[in-house]
Amino acid sequence: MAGVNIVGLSKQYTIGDHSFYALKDIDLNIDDGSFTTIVGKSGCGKTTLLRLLCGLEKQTEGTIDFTSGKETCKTAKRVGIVFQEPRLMHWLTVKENILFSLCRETKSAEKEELAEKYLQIMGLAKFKDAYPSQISGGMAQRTALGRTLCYDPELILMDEPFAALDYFTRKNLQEEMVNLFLAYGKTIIFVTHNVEEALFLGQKVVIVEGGRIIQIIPVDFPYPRSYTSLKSLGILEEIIQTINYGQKSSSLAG
Amino acid sequence: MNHRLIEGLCLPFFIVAFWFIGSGLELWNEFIIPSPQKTWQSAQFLLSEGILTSHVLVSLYRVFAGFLLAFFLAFPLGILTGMKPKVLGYLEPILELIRHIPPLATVPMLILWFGIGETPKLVIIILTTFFPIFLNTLNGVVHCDKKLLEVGQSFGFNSRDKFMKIILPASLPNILIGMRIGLGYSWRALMGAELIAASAGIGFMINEATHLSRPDIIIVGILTIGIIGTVSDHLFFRILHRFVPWKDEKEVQNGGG
Repeated sequence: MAGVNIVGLSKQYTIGDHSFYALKDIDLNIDDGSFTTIVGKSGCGKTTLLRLLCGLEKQTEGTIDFTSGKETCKTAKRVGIVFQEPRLMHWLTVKENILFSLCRETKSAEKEELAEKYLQIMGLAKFKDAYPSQISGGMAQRTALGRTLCYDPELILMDEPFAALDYFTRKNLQEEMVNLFLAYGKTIIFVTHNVEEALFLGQKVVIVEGGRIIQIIPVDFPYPRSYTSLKSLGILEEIIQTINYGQKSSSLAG
Repeated sequence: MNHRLIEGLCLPFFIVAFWFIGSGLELWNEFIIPSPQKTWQSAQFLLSEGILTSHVLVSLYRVFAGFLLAFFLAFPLGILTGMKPKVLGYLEPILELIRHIPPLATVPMLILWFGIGETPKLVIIILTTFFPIFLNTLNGVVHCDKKLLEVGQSFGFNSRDKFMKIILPASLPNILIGMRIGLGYSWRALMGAELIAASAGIGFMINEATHLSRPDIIIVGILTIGIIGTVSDHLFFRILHRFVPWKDEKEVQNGGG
Protein backbone atom coordinates (compact mmCIF):
# COMPACT_ATOMS: atom_id res chain seq x y z
CA MET A 1 0.00 0.00 0.00
CA ALA A 2 1.04 3.51 -0.59
CA GLY A 3 -0.17 7.03 -0.27
CA VAL A 4 1.19 9.93 -2.24
CA ASN A 5 2.27 13.37 -1.17
CA ILE A 6 2.59 15.85 -4.01
CA VAL A 7 4.12 19.26 -3.34
CA GLY A 8 4.51 22.14 -5.81
CA LEU A 9 4.41 19.87 -8.82
CA SER A 10 4.75 21.52 -12.25
CA LYS A 11 5.29 20.16 -15.71
CA GLN A 12 6.35 22.34 -18.59
CA TYR A 13 6.21 21.23 -22.22
CA THR A 14 7.97 22.86 -25.10
CA ILE A 15 6.56 22.54 -28.57
CA GLY A 16 8.64 24.33 -31.15
CA ASP A 17 9.76 27.52 -29.41
CA HIS A 18 6.54 27.82 -27.50
CA SER A 19 6.45 26.45 -23.98
CA PHE A 20 3.53 26.08 -21.64
CA TYR A 21 2.65 24.53 -18.32
CA ALA A 22 0.49 21.40 -18.48
CA LEU A 23 0.52 21.34 -14.69
CA LYS A 24 1.26 24.23 -12.36
CA ASP A 25 1.90 24.15 -8.60
CA ILE A 26 -0.04 21.04 -7.75
CA ASP A 27 -0.30 20.22 -4.05
CA LEU A 28 -2.18 17.07 -3.31
CA ASN A 29 -2.21 14.52 -0.56
CA ILE A 30 -3.54 11.06 -1.31
CA ASP A 31 -4.16 8.84 1.69
CA ASP A 32 -3.05 5.28 1.87
CA GLY A 33 -5.92 3.01 0.81
CA SER A 34 -8.12 5.79 -0.52
CA PHE A 35 -10.05 6.15 -3.76
CA THR A 36 -9.45 9.52 -5.38
CA THR A 37 -10.97 10.69 -8.62
CA ILE A 38 -9.54 13.51 -10.67
CA VAL A 39 -11.99 15.22 -12.95
CA GLY A 40 -11.62 17.92 -15.56
CA LYS A 41 -12.00 18.83 -19.20
CA SER A 42 -9.82 17.39 -21.94
CA GLY A 43 -6.38 18.95 -21.86
CA CYS A 44 -6.64 20.16 -18.27
CA GLY A 45 -3.51 18.25 -17.30
CA LYS A 46 -5.05 15.27 -15.52
CA THR A 47 -3.35 12.68 -17.71
CA THR A 48 -0.03 14.47 -17.30
CA LEU A 49 -0.40 14.14 -13.54
CA LEU A 50 -0.82 10.37 -13.84
CA ARG A 51 2.12 10.06 -16.21
CA LEU A 52 4.30 11.90 -13.71
CA LEU A 53 3.08 9.66 -10.89
CA CYS A 54 4.04 6.46 -12.68
CA GLY A 55 7.35 7.80 -13.92
CA LEU A 56 6.54 7.90 -17.63
CA GLU A 57 7.49 11.59 -17.57
CA LYS A 58 9.72 13.72 -15.38
CA GLN A 59 8.37 16.78 -13.60
CA THR A 60 9.84 20.23 -14.18
CA GLU A 61 9.46 21.31 -10.57
CA GLY A 62 8.14 19.93 -7.31
CA THR A 63 8.26 16.64 -5.53
CA ILE A 64 6.30 13.41 -5.45
CA ASP A 65 6.76 11.36 -2.29
CA PHE A 66 5.26 7.95 -1.84
CA THR A 67 4.34 7.09 1.71
CA SER A 68 4.07 3.56 2.89
CA GLY A 69 3.16 3.38 6.58
CA LYS A 70 5.69 5.73 8.13
CA GLU A 71 8.23 5.36 5.35
CA THR A 72 8.57 7.96 2.64
CA CYS A 73 10.40 7.42 -0.59
CA LYS A 74 10.90 9.12 -3.92
CA THR A 75 9.78 6.20 -6.03
CA ALA A 76 7.01 3.80 -5.19
CA LYS A 77 7.95 0.15 -5.39
CA ARG A 78 4.99 -0.74 -7.51
CA VAL A 79 2.72 1.64 -9.35
CA GLY A 80 0.31 0.08 -11.82
CA ILE A 81 -1.46 2.02 -14.51
CA VAL A 82 -4.51 1.28 -16.63
CA PHE A 83 -4.55 3.41 -19.77
CA GLN A 84 -7.48 4.77 -21.69
CA GLU A 85 -6.88 2.16 -24.38
CA PRO A 86 -6.40 -1.44 -23.24
CA ARG A 87 -2.87 -1.56 -24.72
CA LEU A 88 -2.82 -5.34 -24.74
CA MET A 89 -0.06 -7.29 -26.42
CA HIS A 90 -1.89 -8.51 -29.50
CA TRP A 91 0.31 -11.59 -29.83
CA LEU A 92 -0.64 -12.87 -26.38
CA THR A 93 -3.87 -14.47 -25.24
CA VAL A 94 -6.03 -12.92 -22.53
CA LYS A 95 -4.39 -15.16 -19.95
CA GLU A 96 -0.86 -14.41 -21.13
CA ASN A 97 -1.66 -10.70 -21.13
CA ILE A 98 -2.79 -10.86 -17.53
CA LEU A 99 0.50 -12.52 -16.58
CA PHE A 100 2.50 -10.07 -18.69
CA SER A 101 4.14 -8.18 -15.82
CA LEU A 102 5.61 -11.29 -14.18
CA CYS A 103 9.32 -11.86 -14.57
CA ARG A 104 10.54 -14.97 -16.34
CA GLU A 105 11.73 -16.57 -13.10
CA THR A 106 8.17 -16.91 -11.80
CA LYS A 107 7.34 -20.58 -11.36
CA SER A 108 4.68 -21.94 -13.68
CA ALA A 109 2.57 -23.28 -10.81
CA GLU A 110 2.48 -19.80 -9.32
CA LYS A 111 1.64 -18.32 -12.70
CA GLU A 112 -1.28 -20.73 -13.14
CA GLU A 113 -2.57 -19.79 -9.73
CA LEU A 114 -2.36 -16.05 -10.42
CA ALA A 115 -3.93 -16.44 -13.84
CA GLU A 116 -6.76 -18.45 -12.35
CA LYS A 117 -7.31 -15.83 -9.66
CA TYR A 118 -7.42 -12.77 -11.89
CA LEU A 119 -9.33 -14.43 -14.71
CA GLN A 120 -11.91 -15.30 -12.07
CA ILE A 121 -12.01 -11.79 -10.56
CA MET A 122 -12.34 -10.11 -13.94
CA GLY A 123 -14.85 -12.68 -15.23
CA LEU A 124 -12.62 -13.67 -18.12
CA ALA A 125 -12.21 -17.40 -17.45
CA LYS A 126 -14.14 -18.35 -20.60
CA PHE A 127 -12.00 -16.08 -22.76
CA LYS A 128 -8.58 -16.95 -21.41
CA ASP A 129 -7.30 -18.38 -24.70
CA ALA A 130 -8.74 -15.66 -26.92
CA TYR A 131 -6.51 -13.08 -28.57
CA PRO A 132 -7.23 -9.36 -28.02
CA SER A 133 -8.54 -9.03 -31.59
CA GLN A 134 -11.22 -11.58 -30.78
CA ILE A 135 -12.73 -9.92 -27.70
CA SER A 136 -14.92 -6.87 -27.15
CA GLY A 137 -13.69 -3.49 -25.92
CA GLY A 138 -15.08 -4.13 -22.45
CA MET A 139 -13.36 -7.51 -22.24
CA ALA A 140 -10.11 -5.95 -23.42
CA GLN A 141 -10.29 -3.28 -20.72
CA ARG A 142 -11.04 -5.95 -18.12
CA THR A 143 -7.96 -7.81 -19.30
CA ALA A 144 -5.91 -4.64 -18.96
CA LEU A 145 -7.26 -4.14 -15.45
CA GLY A 146 -6.51 -7.79 -14.62
CA ARG A 147 -2.97 -7.31 -15.92
CA THR A 148 -2.46 -4.32 -13.63
CA LEU A 149 -3.96 -6.11 -10.61
CA CYS A 150 -1.74 -9.13 -11.26
CA TYR A 151 1.27 -6.81 -10.97
CA ASP A 152 0.06 -6.34 -7.38
CA PRO A 153 0.65 -2.59 -7.30
CA GLU A 154 0.65 -0.52 -4.13
CA LEU A 155 -0.92 2.30 -6.08
CA ILE A 156 -3.27 1.91 -9.03
CA LEU A 157 -3.52 4.76 -11.54
CA MET A 158 -6.38 4.75 -14.02
CA ASP A 159 -6.48 7.12 -16.96
CA GLU A 160 -10.07 7.38 -18.21
CA PRO A 161 -10.12 3.59 -18.52
CA PHE A 162 -13.82 3.35 -19.32
CA ALA A 163 -14.14 6.39 -21.58
CA ALA A 164 -14.34 4.39 -24.80
CA LEU A 165 -16.87 1.86 -23.50
CA ASP A 166 -20.62 1.87 -24.00
CA TYR A 167 -22.94 3.03 -21.22
CA PHE A 168 -23.85 -0.42 -19.89
CA THR A 169 -20.35 -1.85 -19.93
CA ARG A 170 -19.06 1.30 -18.30
CA LYS A 171 -21.59 1.16 -15.47
CA ASN A 172 -20.84 -2.47 -14.97
CA LEU A 173 -17.13 -1.87 -14.68
CA GLN A 174 -17.63 1.10 -12.37
CA GLU A 175 -19.52 -1.14 -9.96
CA GLU A 176 -16.75 -3.71 -10.23
CA MET A 177 -14.15 -1.05 -9.47
CA VAL A 178 -15.99 -0.23 -6.24
CA ASN A 179 -16.15 -3.91 -5.35
CA LEU A 180 -12.44 -4.35 -6.06
CA PHE A 181 -11.63 -1.32 -3.97
CA LEU A 182 -13.70 -2.59 -1.07
CA ALA A 183 -12.23 -6.08 -1.36
CA TYR A 184 -8.53 -5.20 -1.69
CA GLY A 185 -8.35 -1.69 -0.28
CA LYS A 186 -5.66 -0.54 -2.69
CA THR A 187 -4.92 3.13 -3.19
CA ILE A 188 -6.59 4.17 -6.44
CA ILE A 189 -6.27 7.40 -8.40
CA PHE A 190 -8.85 7.50 -11.14
CA VAL A 191 -8.84 10.17 -13.83
CA THR A 192 -12.01 10.90 -15.75
CA HIS A 193 -13.81 13.64 -17.64
CA ASN A 194 -17.13 12.18 -16.57
CA VAL A 195 -18.38 14.02 -13.48
CA GLU A 196 -20.93 11.35 -12.57
CA GLU A 197 -18.27 8.70 -12.77
CA ALA A 198 -15.98 10.76 -10.57
CA LEU A 199 -18.72 11.11 -7.96
CA PHE A 200 -19.82 7.50 -8.17
CA LEU A 201 -16.31 6.21 -7.52
CA GLY A 202 -14.29 8.70 -5.52
CA GLN A 203 -14.00 9.36 -1.81
CA LYS A 204 -12.39 12.58 -2.82
CA VAL A 205 -13.04 14.38 -6.10
CA VAL A 206 -10.20 16.58 -7.29
CA ILE A 207 -11.20 19.16 -9.88
CA VAL A 208 -8.43 20.20 -12.24
CA GLU A 209 -8.66 23.06 -14.69
CA GLY A 210 -5.93 24.73 -16.71
CA GLY A 211 -3.21 22.68 -15.07
CA ARG A 212 -4.20 23.64 -11.53
CA ILE A 213 -6.28 22.05 -8.84
CA ILE A 214 -9.24 24.38 -8.37
CA GLN A 215 -11.21 22.44 -5.82
CA ILE A 216 -11.14 19.24 -3.79
CA ILE A 217 -14.52 17.87 -2.77
CA PRO A 218 -14.79 15.07 -0.20
CA VAL A 219 -17.61 12.62 -0.90
CA ASP A 220 -18.51 10.92 2.37
CA PHE A 221 -21.34 8.98 0.86
CA PRO A 222 -20.96 5.24 1.62
CA TYR A 223 -20.43 2.54 -1.03
CA PRO A 224 -22.21 1.07 -2.91
CA ARG A 225 -23.60 4.27 -4.33
CA SER A 226 -26.35 4.74 -6.83
CA TYR A 227 -26.57 7.43 -9.47
CA THR A 228 -29.97 8.62 -8.28
CA SER A 229 -28.90 9.15 -4.69
CA LEU A 230 -25.76 10.97 -5.87
CA LYS A 231 -27.90 13.39 -7.83
CA SER A 232 -29.88 14.25 -4.70
CA LEU A 233 -26.63 15.23 -2.96
CA GLY A 234 -26.44 18.28 -5.19
CA ILE A 235 -22.67 17.99 -5.50
CA LEU A 236 -22.96 17.03 -9.15
CA GLU A 237 -24.23 20.46 -10.17
CA GLU A 238 -21.62 22.12 -8.03
CA ILE A 239 -18.80 20.25 -9.74
CA ILE A 240 -20.12 20.98 -13.22
CA GLN A 241 -20.49 24.68 -12.32
CA THR A 242 -16.97 24.74 -10.92
CA ILE A 243 -15.49 23.21 -14.03
CA ASN A 244 -17.47 25.50 -16.31
CA TYR A 245 -17.04 28.83 -14.54
CA GLY A 246 -14.09 28.29 -12.26
CA GLN A 247 -13.90 28.43 -8.50
CA LYS A 248 -15.30 31.91 -7.91
CA SER A 249 -18.74 31.48 -9.36
CA SER A 250 -19.18 28.12 -7.66
CA SER A 251 -18.47 29.65 -4.29
CA LEU A 252 -20.98 32.37 -5.10
CA ALA A 253 -23.59 29.81 -6.03
CA GLY A 254 -23.03 27.60 -3.03
CA MET B 1 -11.25 -24.92 -50.69
CA ASN B 2 -12.29 -27.43 -53.37
CA HIS B 3 -14.15 -24.73 -55.18
CA ARG B 4 -11.09 -22.51 -55.19
CA LEU B 5 -8.91 -25.39 -56.34
CA ILE B 6 -11.16 -26.01 -59.35
CA GLU B 7 -11.20 -22.30 -60.19
CA GLY B 8 -7.43 -22.14 -59.93
CA LEU B 9 -6.91 -25.17 -62.15
CA CYS B 10 -9.07 -23.86 -65.02
CA LEU B 11 -6.45 -21.68 -66.69
CA PRO B 12 -3.55 -24.18 -66.43
CA PHE B 13 -5.86 -26.80 -67.90
CA PHE B 14 -6.67 -24.66 -70.93
CA ILE B 15 -3.02 -23.75 -71.46
CA VAL B 16 -1.95 -27.40 -71.41
CA ALA B 17 -4.87 -28.35 -73.64
CA PHE B 18 -3.90 -25.61 -76.13
CA TRP B 19 -0.31 -26.85 -75.97
CA PHE B 20 -1.45 -30.40 -76.78
CA ILE B 21 -3.75 -29.40 -79.63
CA GLY B 22 -1.33 -26.88 -81.13
CA SER B 23 1.49 -29.40 -81.13
CA GLY B 24 -0.78 -32.14 -82.49
CA LEU B 25 -1.91 -29.91 -85.39
CA GLU B 26 1.67 -28.71 -85.89
CA LEU B 27 0.65 -25.06 -85.55
CA TRP B 28 4.24 -24.23 -84.62
CA ASN B 29 7.69 -25.56 -85.20
CA GLU B 30 8.62 -28.45 -82.87
CA PHE B 31 11.94 -26.72 -82.34
CA ILE B 32 10.33 -23.53 -80.97
CA ILE B 33 7.77 -25.19 -78.74
CA PRO B 34 8.39 -28.90 -78.17
CA SER B 35 5.34 -31.10 -77.77
CA PRO B 36 4.06 -31.91 -74.29
CA GLN B 37 4.82 -35.58 -74.90
CA LYS B 38 8.44 -34.85 -75.71
CA THR B 39 8.78 -32.55 -72.70
CA TRP B 40 7.24 -35.16 -70.44
CA GLN B 41 9.65 -37.82 -71.79
CA SER B 42 12.61 -35.54 -71.15
CA ALA B 43 11.37 -34.86 -67.63
CA GLN B 44 11.08 -38.58 -66.98
CA PHE B 45 14.53 -39.21 -68.44
CA LEU B 46 16.12 -36.42 -66.40
CA LEU B 47 14.41 -37.69 -63.26
CA SER B 48 15.23 -41.38 -63.75
CA GLU B 49 18.87 -40.63 -64.48
CA GLY B 50 18.97 -38.46 -61.35
CA ILE B 51 20.17 -35.49 -63.41
CA LEU B 52 17.27 -33.20 -62.51
CA THR B 53 17.39 -34.19 -58.84
CA SER B 54 21.10 -33.51 -58.52
CA HIS B 55 20.78 -30.08 -60.17
CA VAL B 56 17.81 -29.25 -57.96
CA LEU B 57 19.72 -30.30 -54.86
CA VAL B 58 22.71 -28.16 -55.81
CA SER B 59 20.46 -25.12 -56.32
CA LEU B 60 18.48 -25.77 -53.14
CA TYR B 61 21.67 -26.13 -51.13
CA ARG B 62 22.91 -22.78 -52.43
CA VAL B 63 19.66 -21.02 -51.59
CA PHE B 64 19.53 -22.61 -48.15
CA ALA B 65 23.13 -21.76 -47.25
CA GLY B 66 22.96 -18.25 -48.71
CA PHE B 67 19.64 -17.58 -47.05
CA LEU B 68 20.94 -18.64 -43.64
CA LEU B 69 24.07 -16.51 -43.99
CA ALA B 70 21.98 -13.54 -45.11
CA PHE B 71 19.61 -13.99 -42.20
CA PHE B 72 22.42 -14.05 -39.63
CA LEU B 73 23.78 -10.84 -41.14
CA ALA B 74 20.53 -8.99 -41.76
CA PHE B 75 18.52 -9.89 -38.67
CA PRO B 76 20.98 -8.70 -35.98
CA LEU B 77 21.85 -5.63 -38.03
CA GLY B 78 18.16 -4.81 -38.45
CA ILE B 79 17.60 -5.12 -34.71
CA LEU B 80 20.69 -3.09 -33.87
CA THR B 81 19.91 -0.24 -36.24
CA GLY B 82 16.27 -0.28 -35.14
CA MET B 83 17.23 0.04 -31.48
CA LYS B 84 20.06 2.51 -32.05
CA PRO B 85 19.00 5.18 -34.55
CA LYS B 86 22.54 6.62 -34.42
CA VAL B 87 23.99 3.52 -36.07
CA LEU B 88 21.38 3.80 -38.80
CA GLY B 89 22.62 7.31 -39.58
CA TYR B 90 26.05 5.89 -40.42
CA LEU B 91 24.77 2.97 -42.46
CA GLU B 92 21.76 4.39 -44.27
CA PRO B 93 23.42 6.15 -47.26
CA ILE B 94 25.62 3.23 -48.22
CA LEU B 95 22.84 0.69 -47.75
CA GLU B 96 20.49 2.85 -49.78
CA LEU B 97 23.02 2.89 -52.63
CA ILE B 98 23.61 -0.87 -52.57
CA ARG B 99 19.89 -1.53 -52.37
CA HIS B 100 19.37 -0.01 -55.79
CA ILE B 101 21.98 -2.15 -57.53
CA PRO B 102 20.45 -5.32 -58.99
CA PRO B 103 22.59 -8.16 -57.61
CA LEU B 104 22.89 -9.68 -61.06
CA ALA B 105 24.75 -6.56 -62.21
CA THR B 106 27.52 -7.47 -59.80
CA VAL B 107 27.99 -10.97 -61.24
CA PRO B 108 30.88 -10.05 -63.60
CA MET B 109 32.73 -8.49 -60.66
CA LEU B 110 31.96 -11.45 -58.44
CA ILE B 111 33.29 -13.88 -61.03
CA LEU B 112 36.43 -11.81 -61.32
CA TRP B 113 36.94 -11.94 -57.56
CA PHE B 114 35.64 -15.36 -56.63
CA GLY B 115 35.77 -17.42 -59.83
CA ILE B 116 32.79 -19.51 -60.90
CA GLY B 117 32.69 -21.75 -57.82
CA GLU B 118 30.18 -21.68 -55.02
CA THR B 119 31.25 -18.37 -53.48
CA PRO B 120 29.81 -15.95 -56.06
CA LYS B 121 26.45 -17.74 -55.89
CA LEU B 122 26.34 -17.44 -52.13
CA VAL B 123 27.29 -13.78 -52.39
CA ILE B 124 24.53 -13.20 -54.93
CA ILE B 125 21.97 -14.79 -52.66
CA ILE B 126 23.20 -12.84 -49.65
CA LEU B 127 23.03 -9.59 -51.61
CA THR B 128 19.44 -10.27 -52.66
CA THR B 129 18.13 -11.70 -49.41
CA PHE B 130 19.82 -9.23 -47.09
CA PHE B 131 17.67 -6.22 -47.88
CA PRO B 132 14.18 -7.64 -47.52
CA ILE B 133 15.12 -9.21 -44.17
CA PHE B 134 17.09 -6.20 -42.95
CA LEU B 135 14.57 -3.57 -43.99
CA ASN B 136 11.54 -5.47 -42.69
CA THR B 137 13.24 -6.20 -39.37
CA LEU B 138 14.25 -2.56 -39.06
CA ASN B 139 10.76 -1.46 -39.95
CA GLY B 140 9.23 -3.79 -37.37
CA VAL B 141 11.51 -2.58 -34.59
CA VAL B 142 11.21 1.11 -35.44
CA HIS B 143 7.43 0.99 -35.70
CA CYS B 144 6.93 -0.91 -32.48
CA ASP B 145 4.00 0.80 -30.75
CA LYS B 146 5.32 3.31 -28.19
CA LYS B 147 2.16 2.81 -26.18
CA LEU B 148 2.99 -0.85 -25.66
CA LEU B 149 6.51 0.10 -24.60
CA GLU B 150 4.99 2.40 -21.98
CA VAL B 151 3.13 -0.58 -20.57
CA GLY B 152 6.48 -2.32 -20.15
CA GLN B 153 7.97 0.79 -18.62
CA SER B 154 5.11 1.05 -16.13
CA PHE B 155 5.91 -2.51 -15.01
CA GLY B 156 9.53 -1.53 -14.52
CA PHE B 157 10.90 -3.69 -17.36
CA ASN B 158 14.60 -3.32 -18.09
CA SER B 159 15.75 -2.97 -21.71
CA ARG B 160 16.21 -6.71 -22.11
CA ASP B 161 12.64 -7.41 -20.96
CA LYS B 162 11.33 -4.67 -23.19
CA PHE B 163 13.12 -6.20 -26.15
CA MET B 164 12.22 -9.82 -25.48
CA LYS B 165 8.64 -9.28 -24.33
CA ILE B 166 7.52 -6.36 -26.50
CA ILE B 167 9.79 -5.31 -29.37
CA LEU B 168 10.72 -8.75 -30.69
CA PRO B 169 7.24 -10.29 -30.65
CA ALA B 170 5.72 -7.07 -32.01
CA SER B 171 8.09 -7.08 -34.97
CA LEU B 172 8.01 -10.83 -35.58
CA PRO B 173 5.41 -10.65 -38.36
CA ASN B 174 7.55 -8.09 -40.20
CA ILE B 175 10.67 -10.19 -39.75
CA LEU B 176 8.98 -13.32 -41.08
CA ILE B 177 7.51 -11.44 -44.03
CA GLY B 178 10.99 -10.11 -44.82
CA MET B 179 12.31 -13.66 -44.74
CA ARG B 180 9.54 -14.84 -47.03
CA ILE B 181 10.18 -12.10 -49.58
CA GLY B 182 13.92 -12.72 -49.27
CA LEU B 183 13.48 -16.40 -49.99
CA GLY B 184 11.55 -15.66 -53.17
CA TYR B 185 14.13 -13.10 -54.30
CA SER B 186 17.10 -15.36 -53.62
CA TRP B 187 15.61 -18.20 -55.66
CA ARG B 188 15.19 -15.90 -58.65
CA ALA B 189 18.62 -14.32 -58.30
CA LEU B 190 20.28 -17.70 -58.05
CA MET B 191 18.72 -18.83 -61.32
CA GLY B 192 20.15 -15.72 -62.96
CA ALA B 193 23.58 -16.37 -61.52
CA GLU B 194 23.53 -20.01 -62.57
CA LEU B 195 22.58 -19.03 -66.10
CA ILE B 196 25.63 -16.78 -66.36
CA ALA B 197 28.29 -18.96 -64.84
CA ALA B 198 27.94 -22.30 -63.12
CA SER B 199 28.84 -25.95 -63.50
CA ALA B 200 25.77 -27.34 -61.77
CA GLY B 201 22.28 -26.29 -60.70
CA ILE B 202 19.01 -25.81 -62.52
CA GLY B 203 20.13 -22.57 -64.12
CA PHE B 204 23.17 -24.40 -65.46
CA MET B 205 20.97 -27.21 -66.76
CA ILE B 206 18.89 -24.68 -68.69
CA ASN B 207 21.94 -22.93 -70.04
CA GLU B 208 23.49 -26.20 -71.17
CA ALA B 209 20.23 -27.19 -72.87
CA THR B 210 20.34 -23.88 -74.76
CA HIS B 211 23.75 -24.76 -76.17
CA LEU B 212 22.55 -28.26 -77.07
CA SER B 213 19.37 -26.90 -78.68
CA ARG B 214 17.09 -28.88 -76.35
CA PRO B 215 14.05 -26.65 -75.72
CA ASP B 216 12.29 -29.58 -74.02
CA ILE B 217 14.90 -29.58 -71.27
CA ILE B 218 14.64 -25.80 -70.99
CA ILE B 219 10.91 -26.11 -70.41
CA VAL B 220 11.44 -28.83 -67.79
CA GLY B 221 13.95 -26.56 -66.05
CA ILE B 222 11.67 -23.53 -66.13
CA LEU B 223 8.70 -25.48 -64.77
CA THR B 224 10.89 -27.00 -62.05
CA ILE B 225 11.97 -23.53 -60.90
CA GLY B 226 8.33 -22.43 -60.76
CA ILE B 227 7.18 -25.50 -58.87
CA ILE B 228 9.99 -25.42 -56.29
CA GLY B 229 9.49 -21.69 -55.77
CA THR B 230 5.78 -22.18 -55.18
CA VAL B 231 6.27 -25.12 -52.82
CA SER B 232 8.95 -23.40 -50.75
CA ASP B 233 6.88 -20.23 -50.47
CA HIS B 234 3.87 -22.25 -49.39
CA LEU B 235 5.92 -24.10 -46.77
CA PHE B 236 7.22 -20.80 -45.50
CA PHE B 237 3.71 -19.41 -45.34
CA ARG B 238 2.73 -22.38 -43.18
CA ILE B 239 5.62 -21.72 -40.83
CA LEU B 240 4.72 -18.04 -40.77
CA HIS B 241 1.17 -18.83 -39.85
CA ARG B 242 2.28 -21.09 -37.03
CA PHE B 243 4.51 -18.40 -35.54
CA VAL B 244 1.92 -15.67 -35.93
CA PRO B 245 -1.28 -17.30 -34.74
CA TRP B 246 -2.88 -14.01 -33.67
CA LYS B 247 -3.25 -12.74 -37.21
CA ASP B 248 -5.80 -14.27 -39.49
CA GLU B 249 -4.69 -15.95 -42.66
CA LYS B 250 -5.71 -13.17 -45.01
CA GLU B 251 -3.65 -10.58 -43.21
CA VAL B 252 -0.54 -12.73 -43.28
CA GLN B 253 -1.08 -13.62 -46.93
CA ASN B 254 -1.56 -10.02 -47.98
CA GLY B 255 1.45 -8.95 -46.00
CA GLY B 256 3.53 -11.44 -47.96
CA GLY B 257 3.55 -9.15 -51.00
